[in-house]
Amino acid sequence: MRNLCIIAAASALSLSAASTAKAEDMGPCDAGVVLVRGSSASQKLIEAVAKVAANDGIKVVYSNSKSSCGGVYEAVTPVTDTTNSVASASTAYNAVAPTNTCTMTPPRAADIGVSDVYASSCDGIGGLASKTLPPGVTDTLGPVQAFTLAINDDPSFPVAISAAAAFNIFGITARGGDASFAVAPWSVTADVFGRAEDSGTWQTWARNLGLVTQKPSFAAPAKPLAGAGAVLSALNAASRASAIGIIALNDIVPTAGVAPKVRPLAFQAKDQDFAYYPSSTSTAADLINVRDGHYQTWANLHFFARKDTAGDYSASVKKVLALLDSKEAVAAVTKIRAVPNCAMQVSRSSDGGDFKAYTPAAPCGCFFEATASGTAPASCKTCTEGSATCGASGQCVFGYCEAK
Amino acid sequence: MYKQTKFLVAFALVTLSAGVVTACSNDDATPVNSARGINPLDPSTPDAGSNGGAQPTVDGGPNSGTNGSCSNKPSGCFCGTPTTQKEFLNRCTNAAALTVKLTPKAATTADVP
Repeated sequence: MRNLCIIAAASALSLSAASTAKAEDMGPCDAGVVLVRGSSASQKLIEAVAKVAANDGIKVVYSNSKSSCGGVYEAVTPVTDTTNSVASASTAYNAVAPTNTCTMTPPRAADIGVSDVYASSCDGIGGLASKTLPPGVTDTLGPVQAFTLAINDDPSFPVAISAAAAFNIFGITARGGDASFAVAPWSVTADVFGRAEDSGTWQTWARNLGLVTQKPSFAAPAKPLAGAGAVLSALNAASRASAIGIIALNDIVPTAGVAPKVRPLAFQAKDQDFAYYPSSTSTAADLINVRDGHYQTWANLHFFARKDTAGDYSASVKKVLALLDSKEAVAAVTKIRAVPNCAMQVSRSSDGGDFKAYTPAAPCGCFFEATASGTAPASCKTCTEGSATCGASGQCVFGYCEAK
Repeated sequence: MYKQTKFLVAFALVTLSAGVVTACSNDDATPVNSARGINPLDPSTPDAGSNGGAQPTVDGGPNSGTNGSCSNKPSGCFCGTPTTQKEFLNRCTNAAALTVKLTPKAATTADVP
C-alpha cells in the first residue's frame, strides 16, 4: 500500500510563530529512524514530539495511517505482515520540523502506532481482525486532544450545541434517518461534515454521544470526509449556518498563514446543565474545561509500541516514549492546543467513559497555563528545581510550584 | 544518508487573541474557583451573534454567592469533590457557562437508522 504523506505546516498557532518549509525527497530513509504511523488528527502532536526527539539525535519519520484505527492496526498486526507496510514517501522531522520526505526501503511496519482512541474502539473497523493488543505491545497514554463540533465563523451563527441536538444531527439525520429529528440550523444533511467510522474523531464523538459506532458514520448526502484538513476546508468554505463538522481543536489551524473562518461550538453534554468551550471562554487558551472535566469530548493519544522478547523497547523507541513527559514536549504540545497529561485533573479509561479524578505525579498546571496564554497565572509561584522554594507539600515542576 | 536540506523559514507574529488567564489551575480534587479571567458575551466576538432565539446566556446567570471554596457559579453547580460523571460535568467553575436554547426532538438509539 502506497502511503501519501502530508507535509505538516508547523503550527505554533496563535501563540508564537508560523513557519513554512520546502520539503525535498531525500530518497531512502535512514535505517535507524523511528517510524511512527498515526492518524491525521495526531500528526501535529507527533510532530511536536519529533522535534524534541531530534534534539536528542533521534530521527522520527511520520506516515499517515489514514485513520486512528490505522494506528491501532500497526499495533495489532504482526510485523511480518507487510500488506500495509509503510513504503512510499513519509515525513521526516528534524528540530525545525517538518523537513523532508524519505522512502521506506524495504517497506516495514511502524515502530510506534498512534491512535486517538483505545484499541477496543476499533473492534471490527478498518480491517482489524482483532482489537486485542498482542503480548509485548504496550499502550502509552499521550497528550489529550479536544474534539469539537465546529462551524463557520460567522458572527450570526450559533455558539453552543447540546448532546441531544448533536445526537439527532450526527446519529439520525446525517445517517439518512427520520428528517423530523432535524435540528435547525443544522438541518441540511449535505452540510454535515463528518469522518468515516475508522476515524478517531468520529469514534470519539460517537462514543461520547452514545451512538452505535459500528454502523456507517454517515449516509449521503452527508459527507464523511477524508481527514481533518478536509473538514477544516469544508467548514471554512461553507459560510452557511447549516454547516457543521467534527474536528479536533488542534486541527483548526491556519492554512498558509491564513486563519480559517472556523470556530468550535460550546458543548453541553448529557446530564450537564450548561454548555462549555474547551477553554474558559471562547477566546481563552487555558483548556481548563478539558482539564477539569467540564468539556466532555476529548481523548488521549495512544502510542502503541512493541517490546522485544526480552521485554524491552528498542533504545530509540524507549527514548521517544520517555520524551512525551519532557518539559520540551509538554511545551510543544501545549502550543498546539493539546493538553499534556501532567496538566489534566481528570482521566478516563475508555473512549467516552466516565471521568475520574486524576492527580499527576508531577502536575504541570502552572507551566501549561503560562505556556498556553503567554503569562503565568498570578497564583503560580516560580521556583528553581531542586530548591526548597515550594515547601514540604509542594514540588517544583518545570519552574513552578505544584502540589506534591 | 539524508541529503542536505534547504529550508525557508518565515516567522510571522500572530496576534495573540487568547484571553488572559489570571489564575493557576486547581490541582486539588476539591474545586477551588480562582479569579480566572472571564470574557462574557463580548460584542466583538462571534458569541455576540443572534440565531433566532438559540443564543445562550453566559455564565449561567449571576453569581449567587459563595459556599466555602465554591463561588456557586453557574447556578445549581456542584460544590464539592465530584465522584460521578454528572458531578464532574456540573462542578462550580468560573468558566463561561452557556445556556443552550435548542429544543431537539427527543430521540434514542432506536431512532438511529
